[in-house]
Amino acid sequence: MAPDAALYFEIDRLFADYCASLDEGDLNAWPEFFVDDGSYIMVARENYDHGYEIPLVYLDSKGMMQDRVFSLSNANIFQEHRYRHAMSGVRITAIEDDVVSVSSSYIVVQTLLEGDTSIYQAGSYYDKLVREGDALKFKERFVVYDTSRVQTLLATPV
Amino acid sequence: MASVLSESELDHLPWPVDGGAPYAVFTDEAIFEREQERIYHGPTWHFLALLDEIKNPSDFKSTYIGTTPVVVTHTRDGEIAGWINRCAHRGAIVCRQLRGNAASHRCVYHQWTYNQRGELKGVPFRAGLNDKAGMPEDFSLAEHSLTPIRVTEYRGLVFGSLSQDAPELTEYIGDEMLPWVDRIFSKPVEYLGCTRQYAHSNWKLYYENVKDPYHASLLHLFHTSFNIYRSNMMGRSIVDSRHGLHSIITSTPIEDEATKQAYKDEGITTYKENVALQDMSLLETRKEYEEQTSNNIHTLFPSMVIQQIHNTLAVRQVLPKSTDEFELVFHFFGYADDDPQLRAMRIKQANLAGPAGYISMEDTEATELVQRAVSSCAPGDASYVGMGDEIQDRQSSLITENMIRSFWAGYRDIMGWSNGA
Repeated sequence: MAPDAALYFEIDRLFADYCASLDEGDLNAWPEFFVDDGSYIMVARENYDHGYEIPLVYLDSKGMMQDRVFSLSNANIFQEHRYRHAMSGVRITAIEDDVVSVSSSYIVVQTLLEGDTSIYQAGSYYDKLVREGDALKFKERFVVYDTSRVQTLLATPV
Repeated sequence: MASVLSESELDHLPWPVDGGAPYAVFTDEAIFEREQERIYHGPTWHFLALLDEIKNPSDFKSTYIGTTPVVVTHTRDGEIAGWINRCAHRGAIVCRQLRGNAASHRCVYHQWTYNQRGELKGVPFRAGLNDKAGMPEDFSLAEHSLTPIRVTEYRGLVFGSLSQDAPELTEYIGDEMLPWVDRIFSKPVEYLGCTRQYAHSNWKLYYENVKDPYHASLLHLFHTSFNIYRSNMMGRSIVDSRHGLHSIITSTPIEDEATKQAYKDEGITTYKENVALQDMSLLETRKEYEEQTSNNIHTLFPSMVIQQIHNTLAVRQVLPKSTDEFELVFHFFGYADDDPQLRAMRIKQANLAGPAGYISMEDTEATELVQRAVSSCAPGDASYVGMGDEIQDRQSSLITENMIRSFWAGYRDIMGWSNGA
């Protein structure tokens, strides 16, 4: 059965809100897009294609995501920067039980304090979405980034 | 902007008398070129791969020694070989993949084909076509092989050298540093993947950084921000006394009775004092060594840092790209006999180190802050590196810049600027 347009619309809204929270710098809102035992994992395409497990970021609970946000806000030192996400190719790849699997592409451009904008990262999101109350949330956001050369550092999640 | 010193200015580069280095070493293109010649083409050994990356016959990996592209292969007869990745014909890159498995290597430009040792095996139209043209009659395949490099393997680490003058690897690493390599590479390791960090700064700023325990608790605020303290830490900072270029920093928590009991009960411990982390699983550690160092940052000149932070293990490869760019490749690994729980801990602890690591992401930020400011320096401008010069027991202090001073002394020597000149 073809997934209905309403579900696509709902996923589109979730992604728009997710990108807006990161692009507007509202980092505290970011963990709230996930269920409590949700995970956010970033792996380089180079590793993913060869089956190597090592991640760039590996957060397997909402608590770990909150810790990352706290660390970025209070401990880590990095240049002031702003992300701007562009997403495309959203596809529902499976619906099993209550889990919706979705894949999509993203590009993040980064603007630094002196006003340069550059392509920071391109990659794919492989998501598993579930319902929590009325809201659709991430059970898993598995990010495979093509831009294996991380410019300077990665602080903010994509 | 990069300067270019003349040969004579280069020979008379003024060095500060109180430690430190002239900022020109981070910005000048003539110095960068001299480094390629005297360091990377000089009598040095370079980390190329973990043996496990090329564990099967015919596996290969392409990488660099300095700015020179090289390939290391596991030949079908079980040996390790290496060659400069530049076709003997017209200079094109031969191997165009990062890693893979191949019976032979063919340059796509004119399909000159080399075996796994880089020996030329075939040239299309060698005898011409329809009796016309072709290679000269005295053309010999054997005279047109890829340039071989020296390669050697030690405890699962593969090294390469562009110089016939480099001593044997174990002598190069030396008696003081070798036991620290042996400690981490005491049993077979398994490659887990790599992360790459591209820094817009000079490679030596990173060498200063990894030889600088002074910055550790000042720049990296992760532990203090979460109130994660270990009251008793024993530190080490050891320099290779032959030339000052290799060094190691370790810190080891001194175990109290409760910690010892926790290890004994479950083999695992976590930091428990005043914890502010929501999820403590990141800090679960397993005792693996007789002395369980929490940090082991071992720098082998000029392209390798062996890292053990808690249970996360990596070889960081330092690759210069230009005066103001270098790439850092973190080769993560575990031991072949890891149980699933320990392997999962290593995967999770990758959050600590690497381009996004809680206690490492700032390092390239710091090196870039220096690069941005020194790029406009005057010829005599230099850094000041004086911390801990007068302490007696140098090897047990972590509030010291002694290893940086030793590094610059060794660097001056290999680059031909004798001390006091």
